[in-house]
Amino acid sequence: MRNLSLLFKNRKKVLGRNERQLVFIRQNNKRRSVKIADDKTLSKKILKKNNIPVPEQIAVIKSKRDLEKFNFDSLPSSFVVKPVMGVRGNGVDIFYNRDKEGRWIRADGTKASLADIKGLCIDIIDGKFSLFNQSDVVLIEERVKAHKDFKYYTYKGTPDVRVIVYNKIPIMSYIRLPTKESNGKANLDLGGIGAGIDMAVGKTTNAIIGKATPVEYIPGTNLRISGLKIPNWDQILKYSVEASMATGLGFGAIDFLIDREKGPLIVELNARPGLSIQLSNNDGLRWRLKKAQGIKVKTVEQGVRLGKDLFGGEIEEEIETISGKKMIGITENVTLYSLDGKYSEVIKAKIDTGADSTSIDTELARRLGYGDVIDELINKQIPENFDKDEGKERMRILDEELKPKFDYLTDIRLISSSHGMSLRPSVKLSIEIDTYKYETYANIFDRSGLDYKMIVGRKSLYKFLIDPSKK
Amino acid sequence: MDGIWNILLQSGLDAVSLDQVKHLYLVVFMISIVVTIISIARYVIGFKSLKVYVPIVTTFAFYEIGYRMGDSNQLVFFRGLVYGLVIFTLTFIFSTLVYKLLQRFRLHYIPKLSLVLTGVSTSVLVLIFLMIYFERNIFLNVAPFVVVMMIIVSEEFMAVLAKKNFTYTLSISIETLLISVIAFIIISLDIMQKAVFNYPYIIIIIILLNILIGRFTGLRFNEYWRFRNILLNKEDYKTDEKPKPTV
Repeated sequence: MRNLSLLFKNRKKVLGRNERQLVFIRQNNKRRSVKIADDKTLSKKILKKNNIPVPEQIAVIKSKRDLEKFNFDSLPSSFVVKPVMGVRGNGVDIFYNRDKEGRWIRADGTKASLADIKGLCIDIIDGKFSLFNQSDVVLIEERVKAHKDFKYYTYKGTPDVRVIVYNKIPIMSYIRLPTKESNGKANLDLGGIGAGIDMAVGKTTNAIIGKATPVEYIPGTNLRISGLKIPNWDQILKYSVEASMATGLGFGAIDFLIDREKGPLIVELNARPGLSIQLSNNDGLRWRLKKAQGIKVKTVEQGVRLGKDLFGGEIEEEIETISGKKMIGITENVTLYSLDGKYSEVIKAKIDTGADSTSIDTELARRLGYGDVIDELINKQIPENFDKDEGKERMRILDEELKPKFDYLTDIRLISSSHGMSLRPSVKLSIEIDTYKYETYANIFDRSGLDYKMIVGRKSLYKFLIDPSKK
Repeated sequence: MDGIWNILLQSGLDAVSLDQVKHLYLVVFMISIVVTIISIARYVIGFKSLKVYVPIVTTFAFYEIGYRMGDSNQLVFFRGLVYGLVIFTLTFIFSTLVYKLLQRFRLHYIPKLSLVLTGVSTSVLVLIFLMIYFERNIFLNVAPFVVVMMIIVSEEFMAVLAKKNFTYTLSISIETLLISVIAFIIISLDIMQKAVFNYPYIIIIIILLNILIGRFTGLRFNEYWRFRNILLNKEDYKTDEKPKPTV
């Protein structure tokens, strides 16, 4: 029942096909802009005129007669063949190089002869890949070289970034990463990865593989998908707003490829954006569109800023840069280094601003090489119950006796907690939280019955800000 | 409607012809009902269908086969359903089979379609011969045009096969068939047929219903399933939740 009420409540967040068509496409996209978006050569021309970068056009083949006359040897060794009115990447073929026999090599290593390419061109001209099967035109353009930042994230192909723009405001974005399964194609239906992007900072957040399966790591690796910073993010947002202004596309998707040298290039405009971007972002489009509705956007900068402010989920990074401190949550994975520095262990620790100092579990401390001081203390056979004055006396004696023996021991502490009085050794300890490594002090004490084997107290947290809502 | 039938009788129409007129009236009236069912299936539930043409043709083919196969011009529901399904399945299997065989050759569209239709027609002919051989009077009354309409559906299968893949074609065909079967069941209901004869004003309900669906912007049923992860997403951070006291 709770799920049903959630479903009912949240249905207003998500955009469905009916509303996309009836409300957003029909009311915001004039016939002229749809025509521009559907025709890749026309959109290229208009974008270029407005100084928005696009991949260089090499040739256009309009008819079978053109095809007969066309000299494929005049092409550079790498290029892309596309139908001008193609949809969903159908009929697109990318060639990387040419072998000795003059055949062209695709990303997956298969080869295409001249007859193969001509066959593809005939299919395109016949309209096999165009929207309503009408006859089409072949577009040959330069191949975009994948940006270096994506090197480990993609399999062979080039990832593409899509930005949905509505009312000149960037609404939502995702990046499609080609995988081994999708055979180097950035197509979700074929098994590619779609990763949602945080609008404010341009970092990937949530991701799906294939049509709807949530995924955390690039398949076959331990590389986390979320947190990938999209290069030239601000430029991408700027160009997408500019493109929507130049073409008059009120509601549409702008697709980018990011070239190693040239930066983001617009490869395609889409007047009927798909809805699966919502699954990649694990968030609905509808509430965002409603929020962006009716705002008067006068300049490109204003549109970009609105998109970032309204739909950027995490402002974390900005706070981190302002304060110079890292933002952490109330539980964090902490890396602990052993005394000799050869061994390390990652554990989930509680960040506890109520505690003065950090403390770790006895067993954990043993593994990190603090065993001898623990044994020494056990050998002293300290009785369980004592009052404060007695404790102070014992502390002084132990301090004097043990400190010279162990150089990592800072002192013996008398701690009063809900467990009663206890004497704990305090030692130097190297830890790392959120990629920041430093040395601090930690009490050793038996936490075996407690949820967390380590709590990090105030004295170890000078370099951090704590956000309790962060997971 | 009785008034109209009476006028026709008075003009000199005989009773047998009147029955034919009534059948024609029923079928033509039902078209708008079937299309309404298809539009509900598409926009409210989220069924895919091969255009609107295929489910309509299939529904009425079921209906005609069931109607004509009976002994005394009575609708025999199960015959219509079974033989209709057999012809539809046969058309599907042979269209895809012949299309797959022809795929390796580069043929123009219409010759390719012509070959596919030849394959389908032959198979349907064999089926009809077999059925007549085993059950004498079956199919004798079915108008040839009905069979033609069902075979023509091949073109739609082929068009989808050319653009998409086999799995997609299979799924869209099954969904089309499902819509047709549901529509066939609905128009075969006694209550529905009586309503069409006795209360032709239901056309107003159909018009209103279509306007309503035409302006429907809610999520389709299958979209609730598709976006379930987003829809079941709880609020990230609840303020009314009190923190647990720490020991």
